[in-house]
Amino acid sequence: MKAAITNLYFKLIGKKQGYCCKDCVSNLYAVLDGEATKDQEEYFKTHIQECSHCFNLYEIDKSVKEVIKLKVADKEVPNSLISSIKDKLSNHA
Amino acid sequence: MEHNKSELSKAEKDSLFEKEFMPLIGPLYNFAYRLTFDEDDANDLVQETYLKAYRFIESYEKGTNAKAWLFRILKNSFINEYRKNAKLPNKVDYQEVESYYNSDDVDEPITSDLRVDAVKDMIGDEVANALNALDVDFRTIIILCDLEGFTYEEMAKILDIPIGTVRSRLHRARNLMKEKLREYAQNMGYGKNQSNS
Repeated sequence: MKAAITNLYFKLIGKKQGYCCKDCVSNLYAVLDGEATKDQEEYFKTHIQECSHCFNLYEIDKSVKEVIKLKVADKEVPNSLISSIKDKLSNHA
Repeated sequence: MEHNKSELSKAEKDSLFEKEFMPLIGPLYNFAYRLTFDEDDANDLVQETYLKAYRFIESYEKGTNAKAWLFRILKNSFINEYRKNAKLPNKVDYQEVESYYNSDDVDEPITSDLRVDAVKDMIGDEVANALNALDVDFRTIIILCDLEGFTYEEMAKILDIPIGTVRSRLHRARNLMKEKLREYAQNMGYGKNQSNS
């Protein structure tokens, strides 16, 4: 059973449930944020094909990042702000 | 600050300002608003940022990262002018953050019952509320990284912190964000009892 093997793996590396290892967590964010080296990215992408734990973590963090970018609405800049900056500059210059 | 630029004429300054700085007013205004939650304060902060940018335009190297430079000025203005104000949240205790980050419990409370489909069903207000509920330093790092797409190195420069601190602050901020989203998800009916597969 894959789950049993995974649990055994967690036991062997002495970690509780939650994530596989510290390297995976830091690689996860590096991959997610486009900051990983080629090797880190390759290792992580291969790893999540086998480790459902890290796969789930990655999917959740990826969806949170996407939802922030897609759904937090921008506020429109007031026109008065642009004109007031230009006025102040022409007065000071 | 050291720079090897020859002095710019007023016309050159104005052109640089217009072409490279003014197009960034949208992200700057939104950053200011998300820091202060007040339209007047955001206006003042952005105005001050642009006036400073013009005053120190000689130290800006044309064609380099204008956005990071302006965000840094805005962030410093915010710290100097607005953080003094008692109504704003206090600075985060980073020792507590570091010790949290170094513990084995990182991520545990969150991942077990926050689901991808629940996150994707969030409406904008819920996501914005979760973001706005974070302490200002955590909110800032998420804004810079996830909304504005700055690199870790750019964030380190904007915030005057080492890259390691960028990583740990981002990590903690994301965990807090996930905790907030999980609360919303539970209210939406994505409870603990549902399957996690």
